[in-house]
Amino acid sequence: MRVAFGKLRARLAAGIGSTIAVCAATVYGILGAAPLPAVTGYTAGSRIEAGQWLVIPRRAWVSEEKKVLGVRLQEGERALVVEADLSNRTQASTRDYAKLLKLQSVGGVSVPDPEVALVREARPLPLLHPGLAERVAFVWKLPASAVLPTSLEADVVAKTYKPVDNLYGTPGWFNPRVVGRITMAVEMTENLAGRAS
Amino acid sequence: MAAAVLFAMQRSTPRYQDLTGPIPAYGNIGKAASTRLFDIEVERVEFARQLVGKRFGGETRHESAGVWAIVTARMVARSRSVNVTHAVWEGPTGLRYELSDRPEFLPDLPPHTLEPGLPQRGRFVFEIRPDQILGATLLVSEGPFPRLDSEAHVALNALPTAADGLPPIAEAFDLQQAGGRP
Repeated sequence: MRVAFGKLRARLAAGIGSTIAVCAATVYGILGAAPLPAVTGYTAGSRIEAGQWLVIPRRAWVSEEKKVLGVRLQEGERALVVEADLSNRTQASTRDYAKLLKLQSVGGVSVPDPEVALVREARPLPLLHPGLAERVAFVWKLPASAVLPTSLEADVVAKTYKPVDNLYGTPGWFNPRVVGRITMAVEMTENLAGRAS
Repeated sequence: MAAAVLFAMQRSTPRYQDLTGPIPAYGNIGKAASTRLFDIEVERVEFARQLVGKRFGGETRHESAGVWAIVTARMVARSRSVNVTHAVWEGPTGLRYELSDRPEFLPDLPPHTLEPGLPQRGRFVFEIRPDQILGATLLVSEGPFPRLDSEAHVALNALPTAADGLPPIAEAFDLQQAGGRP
């Protein structure tokens, strides 16, 4: 008996790494299978704290103009625009807003990252300064084939501040994650309203 | 005991970024800061609600959610020609306001091309919050990421103040007015 117990202990000791690995894999498997927690829903006018930014979505509209707030469109392209008030909550001036809003696919077409323009001066890629709220427009260029939506859903993606990052030991904003979803009605111009879904 | 010492040592070790950071060259209003490549002496700091200028023959007007801070400085290169491209308005609490990207194609704005022995005036324009006016520092360097190189730190103290404790804030500031060339 004594010998058998000793053998068991030796086997456990030898296999301890694999045992821990199997247990960890099981735990992560169970956690991964759980349904994702529901994200907070927001509408126009909500204040959304998203890491570096305080976002207040204002309105959404579509346009067929050649140039939308300084952003040029190609022939046949249309622009889906979300206007929002953006306030920089960080310590320094930044342009890190390209991945702040992630549009859900529009009419079955996946959309690229938006171009961002300052509404006050119709100026693309504005530098936004700490504590100064500015109205900016996120402009998504949609191909002519995309069906224009009458309401849109966009995920708000926030990053987390790390005082010391793992690679360089410098402070920065990392680990993007979805903190909420904006649902807004899209305003149509009369010309486009007839063709929208 | 040993653990406490190790913890203290770990916490107090300077980071790579601090070790290779800019080397400050101090100055203040009226006293030049001497960096490796150029000298800079701040002459005036003005504040305005709007910036006015002419671009391509038409008038441009820039409004701001905060106030515009316009720094006029006299600069000269030390031993070779230098392009001064980068400046930061560092507020009293450490907020860093980069040069505004909105005024463009107007005279006396960065990049400032400096020549040795030929002093010239230039402007730096920032868009800041009104509560960042007092106790600020102007940081000026050749490039955007000064590493192991000197950076001018000009204390913007002794600003003339009005009754409310803040310097006077003009309704509009004309960037076209001659403030640039000596």
